Amino acid sequence: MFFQQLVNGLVSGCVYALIALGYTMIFGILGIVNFAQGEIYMFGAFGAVTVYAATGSLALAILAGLGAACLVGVLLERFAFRPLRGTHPLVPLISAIGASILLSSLARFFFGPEDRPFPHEFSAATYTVFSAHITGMQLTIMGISAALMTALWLFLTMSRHGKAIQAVAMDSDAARLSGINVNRAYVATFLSGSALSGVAGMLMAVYYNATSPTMGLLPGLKAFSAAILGGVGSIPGAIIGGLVLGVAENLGAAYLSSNFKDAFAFIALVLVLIIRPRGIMGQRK
Amino acid sequence: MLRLSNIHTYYGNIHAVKGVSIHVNPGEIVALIGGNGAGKSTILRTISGILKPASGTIHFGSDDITSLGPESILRTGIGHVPEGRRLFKGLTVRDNLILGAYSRRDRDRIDDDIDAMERLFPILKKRKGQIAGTLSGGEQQMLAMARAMMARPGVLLLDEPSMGLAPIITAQIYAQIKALNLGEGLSMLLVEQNARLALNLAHRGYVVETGRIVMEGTTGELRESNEIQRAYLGKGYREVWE
Ligand SMILES: Nc1ncnc2c1ncn2[C@@H]1O[C@H](COP(=O)(O)OP(=O)(O)OP(=O)(O)O)[C@@H](O)[C@H]1O
Ligand SMILES: [Mg+2]
Repeated sequence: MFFQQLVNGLVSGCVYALIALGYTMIFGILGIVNFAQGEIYMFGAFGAVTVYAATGSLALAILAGLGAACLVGVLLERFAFRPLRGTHPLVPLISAIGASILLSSLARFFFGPEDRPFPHEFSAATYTVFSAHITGMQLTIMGISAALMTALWLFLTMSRHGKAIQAVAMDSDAARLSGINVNRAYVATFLSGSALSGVAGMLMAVYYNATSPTMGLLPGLKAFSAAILGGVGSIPGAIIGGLVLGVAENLGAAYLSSNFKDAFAFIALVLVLIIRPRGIMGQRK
Repeated sequence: MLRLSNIHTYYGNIHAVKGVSIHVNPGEIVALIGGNGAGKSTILRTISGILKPASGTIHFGSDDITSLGPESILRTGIGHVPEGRRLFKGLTVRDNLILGAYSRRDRDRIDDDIDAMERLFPILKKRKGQIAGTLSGGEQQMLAMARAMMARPGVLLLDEPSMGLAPIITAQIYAQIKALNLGEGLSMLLVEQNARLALNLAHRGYVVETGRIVMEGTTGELRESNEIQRAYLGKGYREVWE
């Protein structure tokens, strides 16, 4: 039972972590909270489902999901945030909330309000580890998440462009004086954050076999909490925060009350912030 | 080589630079001196494109760079070591140097230039893997200069390199600035509050007060001027009080 809940928690934790990375990277570089991160996740899922239904090709579906998520991310950067640079921080926040409402309305308009299943049968094989049953899909989610997080980490810390993105996050004027194009760094940040959220959306669409225009709402909020929990702006923090949140809500649901499953994530957030107001990995400014 | 003509710069409706015309000749060190809030840093930020002038022109060689962005201005050959160093504090010394060369296309030569910077500033070699934010003030200033040099500029804008440093460290930094000027033939526009320091190193100078150039000349002339002595070199003050 415990191990089973741990595994289930790690699986949803991986998804929260993927979305939280988008929040934390965008906050780290632009100082804004992109409240539409959950809608990017939803568009990733819808892109994949739509193209899969039309073509039956899983590869094309994945490309479409990634493409939809990245497109939404880039459009947000260009039209919801870039024109507001240099304004009071509340202004982009309101713009993000507006964008999030607009995007879920668009999704309702184009895809209808009902749940759509992901029209593909995935292998139902399960593996037993420490009395926990792990499905192939759960392994896939954890594997893909771990691979993407590693890739992101290597990109940011090893590559020239990744270091440039870090430099913009640390001091954007100094970055400009070093010849770094900050707009390009912002776009790259939105692209990578959106790709991660898009993948998370596709994985969840398959996992729960459902997509809906509001599917991004709760995961978006929880991932936002995960980013704060881990210490907003910190990449390892977003990953740890996501996993902690996922595990906490599954254990809470199993041992305390399954009616309050969604509340445990936020209770965990409040508890951690009381003990460590800057979040697990957060640094004093 | 670098020429500003009648530059006006605003922050919102604060008129910080009011019709400044200055120039820097090849190989020359030019000092900009003046008190707090005179507009010295604003002039440098306008040259490097961080701020856009409301009117006036800036030429570098034969190019009009007035409307270019900072990345393009850097590529034409103007490097800027900002006030307060502004290092990438969470990155290593080496990464700071690598990012200094971000605008360059000749990537295969970057390692050679890092070696050259480590010869000029030997401490940077020792501190290669250290996080820049943990360097001492003097080391940070050296790294800031080396980072700017990694773009291979023809003119270097230096904003208060002595800020917050002990006199002995300042002397060392100034010796290195002189070495860059002599060795590489680098032109410099040097901003200092410490007028004595700047006037000893530079060839020519301008005095900035409330956004205007109020005096200019060779450093010899400026050192002799009564007003400069009174306002910036602290003579007379001494006679009265000691
Ligand atoms: N970001 C800003 N927003 C608004 N006003 C500014 C800003 N930066 C500078 N100023 C104003 O512009 C004027 C010139 O400032 P500047 O920083 O260029 O002075 P400075 O000569 O470099 O002074 P210091 O020697 O203290 O560095 C000052 O009155 C200052 O208050
Ligand atoms: Mg200044």
